[in-house]
Amino acid sequence: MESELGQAQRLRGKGTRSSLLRNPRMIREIGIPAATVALIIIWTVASPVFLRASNFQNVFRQSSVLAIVCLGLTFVLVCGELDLSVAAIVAASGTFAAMVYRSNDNYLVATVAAIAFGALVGAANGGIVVKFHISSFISTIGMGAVISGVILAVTGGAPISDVSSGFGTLGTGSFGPIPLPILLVALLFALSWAGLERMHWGREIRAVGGNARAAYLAGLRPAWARFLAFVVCGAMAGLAGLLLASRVHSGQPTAAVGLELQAVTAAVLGGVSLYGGRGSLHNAIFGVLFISFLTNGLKLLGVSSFIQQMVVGAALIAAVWMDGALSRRN
Amino acid sequence: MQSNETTPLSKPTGLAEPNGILARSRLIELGIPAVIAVMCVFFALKDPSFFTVSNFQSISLQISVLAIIAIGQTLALLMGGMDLSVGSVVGISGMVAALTAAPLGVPTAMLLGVLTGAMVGALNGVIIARLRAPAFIATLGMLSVARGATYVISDGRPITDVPASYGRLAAGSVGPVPTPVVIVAALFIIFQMVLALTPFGRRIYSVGVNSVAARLSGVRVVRVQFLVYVLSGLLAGIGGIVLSSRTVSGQATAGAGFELQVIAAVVLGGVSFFGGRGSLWRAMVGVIFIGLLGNGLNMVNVSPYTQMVIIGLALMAALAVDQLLRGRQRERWQ
Repeated sequence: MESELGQAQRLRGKGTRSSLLRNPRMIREIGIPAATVALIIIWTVASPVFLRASNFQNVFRQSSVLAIVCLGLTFVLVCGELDLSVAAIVAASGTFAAMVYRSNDNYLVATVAAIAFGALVGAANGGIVVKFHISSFISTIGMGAVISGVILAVTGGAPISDVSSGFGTLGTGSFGPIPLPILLVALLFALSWAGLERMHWGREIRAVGGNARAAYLAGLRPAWARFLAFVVCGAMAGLAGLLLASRVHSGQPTAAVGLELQAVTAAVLGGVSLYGGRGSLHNAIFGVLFISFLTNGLKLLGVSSFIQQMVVGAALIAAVWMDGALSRRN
Repeated sequence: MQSNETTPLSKPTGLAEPNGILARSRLIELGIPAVIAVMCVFFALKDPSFFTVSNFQSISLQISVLAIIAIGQTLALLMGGMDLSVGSVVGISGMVAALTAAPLGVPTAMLLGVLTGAMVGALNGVIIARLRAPAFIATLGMLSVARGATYVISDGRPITDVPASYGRLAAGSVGPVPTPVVIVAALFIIFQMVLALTPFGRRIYSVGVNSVAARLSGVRVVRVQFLVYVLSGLLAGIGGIVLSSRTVSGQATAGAGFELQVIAAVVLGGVSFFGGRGSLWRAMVGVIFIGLLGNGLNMVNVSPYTQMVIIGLALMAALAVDQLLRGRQRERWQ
């Protein structure tokens, strides 16, 4: 979405080196990967234990839950909406999956249960936004409170820990040298990419997010696209919840507090725009890597988790401001 | 997606006159007060001690913190913005007051707490008004920053070694009326006068109805927005020290979740989420409703988790009704 002046300048060959770097698209694509590399260099210098295979494996394992949530969230962001109920979905679906696994020891059933739970909540979110035309961010905040309240009421706030040890396979297992969570992220990334970039419904979602009016006039269905985006986001969050529960061998109804903020921060930092239509899945993944390395390095340096929370909050503000500034450039 | 600004070509964020079908009926204006009356009757039947002075004192004390914050939140909503960091501001200002109460004396400490709230508000104002970040997400980020800061300055532990006079603010009363309620009343009168009688108040409404038109009419939109966020933070700060005085301590978790409750309360009362429409009267009606609801639910032993569900559902219902009432001109693709 280039301005006419910008396009005229570009066609006139006004591409000097400085304007290439100041191109908003460039900044979105290169910014965070470059920052991540810089961060890795800084941390390597600052901490002797950072650049180790075990630490990196740890970071990748731990960031897998956030990564899956971000992949789903990207669908919603690209559609021009927000889903702040993902943290509640993660906690609730993980607990639900634990309850299901506890009663029949079947991993496949538990997985389907988690995904279905998340997809249902996503459908509720989508239905509310589409039917009642309520601003998605506040209605998903409300939905998050509802889901949290429900799962806390059902469990009385207590974790579901009497699951057999097989529950932990997904979270703690490995396929050869590769941890299973990372394989899961890779698989979901491939599927999501295929859906968002190559399939009709994914492109419809992106078109609606970029310009809903144009999409409608072109014959696409904005309501359906939004609904789908929320369902996908919910389903992913559900799966991420199963992963999280599997990693801690129990269903924790109080888990993932603040995850929704981390997810939005990671996605927007990575280059997915809050205003819709811009950004892609690899942006979200880079954002997750940046946030994960940031918090990992801070932790290795002994910085308290409270300060880490402040840093992530500040990063969100910075990311959102950047996103706004870059979007206005056009 | 909510945006703070509208381009001249897009529809304004709020309409001054509602033209939805429900709005035609004046009955809806009586809606929430009627529900409150019904609730009072219901609870009085359930528990005869409901209609006692002491119970009303206790209820009004409980909702006083929410009411103070609601004044600030109403200002922000009327202006077309919102402040989701108020819960964390309550926490940090109470914590600052509690930490400095022993060395600096209670009055100075409380003043510092309030000023802390105003400072966070000023930060919000800079980020939103000057840097043009969307209000909802910027204040959401500030929620994290302020909450984290609260934990950092308190090291995660509650601060209980405060002078005995620290609790006097919340425990005292002027005649039969608890002091916090007097504070609410005083703040309400002040800000209702500001909104209704001063040019600043009119500017708040005008920015909320159509910020572009306001700017083109000579209103300094950036300044109005900045000031409103400072006020929201200031009022949340006052709420924070009242809460802290009630618990006679500084709690790192104080105020958590308040932002949701206060927005639900204020929108339920009739302040529009989209800006430009509503008043402090309506906000207070909503706060009383939420307060009575919470009190009543506690009385019939509904668990706090279920209350959370109810607040979330009430918020969504309030927003849906708000949308219906606005009768917003909506296109087929929105």
